[in-house]
Amino acid sequence: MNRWVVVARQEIRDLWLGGRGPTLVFAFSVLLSAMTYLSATNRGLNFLEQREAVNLTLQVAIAVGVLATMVVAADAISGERERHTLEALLLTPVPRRDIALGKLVSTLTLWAACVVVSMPYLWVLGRSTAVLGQAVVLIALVGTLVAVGLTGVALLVSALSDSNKTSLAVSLFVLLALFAPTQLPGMPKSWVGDLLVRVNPLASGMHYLSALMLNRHTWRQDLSYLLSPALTVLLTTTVFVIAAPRLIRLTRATS
Amino acid sequence: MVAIEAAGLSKRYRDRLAVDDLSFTAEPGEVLGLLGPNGAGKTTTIRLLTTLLRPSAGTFSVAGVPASEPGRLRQRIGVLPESAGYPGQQTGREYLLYHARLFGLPRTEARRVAEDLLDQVGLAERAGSRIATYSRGMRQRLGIARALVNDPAVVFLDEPTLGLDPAGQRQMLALVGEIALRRRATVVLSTHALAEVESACSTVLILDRGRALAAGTIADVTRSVGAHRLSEAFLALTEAGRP
Amino acid sequence: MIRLLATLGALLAASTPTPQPPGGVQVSLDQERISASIGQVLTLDTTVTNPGSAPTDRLIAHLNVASLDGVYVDLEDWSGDVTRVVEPIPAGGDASVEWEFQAVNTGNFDVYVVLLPGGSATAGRGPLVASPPVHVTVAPRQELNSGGALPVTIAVPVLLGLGVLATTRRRRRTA
Repeated sequence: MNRWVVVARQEIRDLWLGGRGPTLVFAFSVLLSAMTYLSATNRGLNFLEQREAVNLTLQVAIAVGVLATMVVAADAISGERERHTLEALLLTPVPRRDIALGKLVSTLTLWAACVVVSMPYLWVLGRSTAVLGQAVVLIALVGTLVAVGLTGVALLVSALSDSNKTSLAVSLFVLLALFAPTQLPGMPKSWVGDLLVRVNPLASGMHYLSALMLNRHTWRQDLSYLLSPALTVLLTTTVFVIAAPRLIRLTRATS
Repeated sequence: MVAIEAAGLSKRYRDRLAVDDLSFTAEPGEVLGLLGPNGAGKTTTIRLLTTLLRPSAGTFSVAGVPASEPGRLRQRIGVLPESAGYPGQQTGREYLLYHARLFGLPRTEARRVAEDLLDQVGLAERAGSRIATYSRGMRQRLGIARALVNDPAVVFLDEPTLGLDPAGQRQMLALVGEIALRRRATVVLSTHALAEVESACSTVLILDRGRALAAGTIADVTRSVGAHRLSEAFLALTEAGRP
Repeated sequence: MIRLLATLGALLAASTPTPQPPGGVQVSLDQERISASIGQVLTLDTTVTNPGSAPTDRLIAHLNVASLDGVYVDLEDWSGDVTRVVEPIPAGGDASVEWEFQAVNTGNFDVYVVLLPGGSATAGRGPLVASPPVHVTVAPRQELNSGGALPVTIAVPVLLGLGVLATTRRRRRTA
């Protein structure tokens, strides 16, 4: 069996039976429940506002799901260093690349769980609109593309960080820095704003979602906005494939 | 074929030379005591020989595998690191099974090996308990079991008795002897406790400030400085260069 | 020579038909009435016919939605693609345009298509041509309400909370 599968299986067990995974997903569901209930109690919501509620829930689900996944990824290597459990792993014949891949895959099970948990909320909000099917496909495809890219970034930060605190802080900062522009209204209206959206994998993914959900664009119309998240995936994958032995080591300071 | 061969091994950290031009050999079945005061370079030497660190200079081979093949080398060695951590949420059995699988053992074989080792190190009754509930001595024994999971040709034990009570130390040293005798593995025992070396080791390599001061059987090393006991020889050698 | 050229020009003008302003074309829709539920995506086929003896100019077809109940209609919410170019239609020919829009408001509406001149040659000339309206009745569907959402907003966190408890108990059992 491929060694990365062995690593992934154990990491998945540790994540889900160890308690961290279920706790994060539970917190995620509480947030979505609150949002959904508030939307539902607002009897004044017309169809358009319902569609916007579905869009908002979709974006929050992606942002918070990616946050939870990045938190786990940020701990993946720097956390093991701090707990002194990385050394035993490095003393096995498992290639460093396989260690990285196994950890990435196991971390992404948390994202998958968030997608599954989002489904009933999207169904409740979207069943009287015509966008439910679209929302499901968007969170599964676009959300996953963004999640894989940013999880790769957090894993990279974890490998490069001196401490787990630094790794978590930097990963959270990165996510906040990428998320903040999505809250500014009308970003793509100028060429500078459009460029800032396009280079930001989170903002461009969100822009694509809104274009389809609210503006009823076709799937192909804004496809160029998915270039940024796709490139993030490609870049982080390339870095790990090439530099895994230099990244995943006992301490950051030594060589 | 020698079990360990190091030639001109050096490790530099910026302006500090942690290991300086170290050359030595160890034969199969030998129990080599790696002796030295704190900061002598014992852990760095072990980390170099186990491919965790890359040497600044020199070459080495372990179990006949050159340093240029780190994956193959790690397949042939077992290591109990000095500051080993253990995942608290895993059980002892789960932990050993995981590492056996990482060394490429099929699931059934891995399970059998894990159960055997847990029995050998006296953890069979607590195999299903989480490691977080293990005492320090139990964790050290688990660490030794993990170091043996791939039936290694060379075993590196870095300060295995650190933090153990006298009974625990005795148990640990007995295990070390068993490893060498029953498994015919070469053991490198890194310690700053002279009594451990005297009781468990057949040969000794004394390090200080990254350099080898003496190597050979305990009798040879003791005689070479005109001492009667290893402790006298150790003090004579390590204090010689100090002001 | 000048007289000759003028005669030649007149002859050419007579043989080349003058592009018709929109007033000469006809536009029809394939339906008269549509009943829909809110959120439903609807399609409408427009046929632009040129019964005249000259080809039309390039035309712009524009979709419009007018509320009959006084409900505010934001056309962009109904469709993001309300303006289409109709290429010049030869004499006696026709062209079709398909529209897709979503019924985002409830009530009664008239949906119709207007043809505008697309070329500068017919700028300022009229009349514009409008299709007969399609009467669209949009019924409300089941609305989001707290009663419908409550089971999900409670059940999902409760189930996941039980999962958290189960893992905690497992950890205690293996102590």
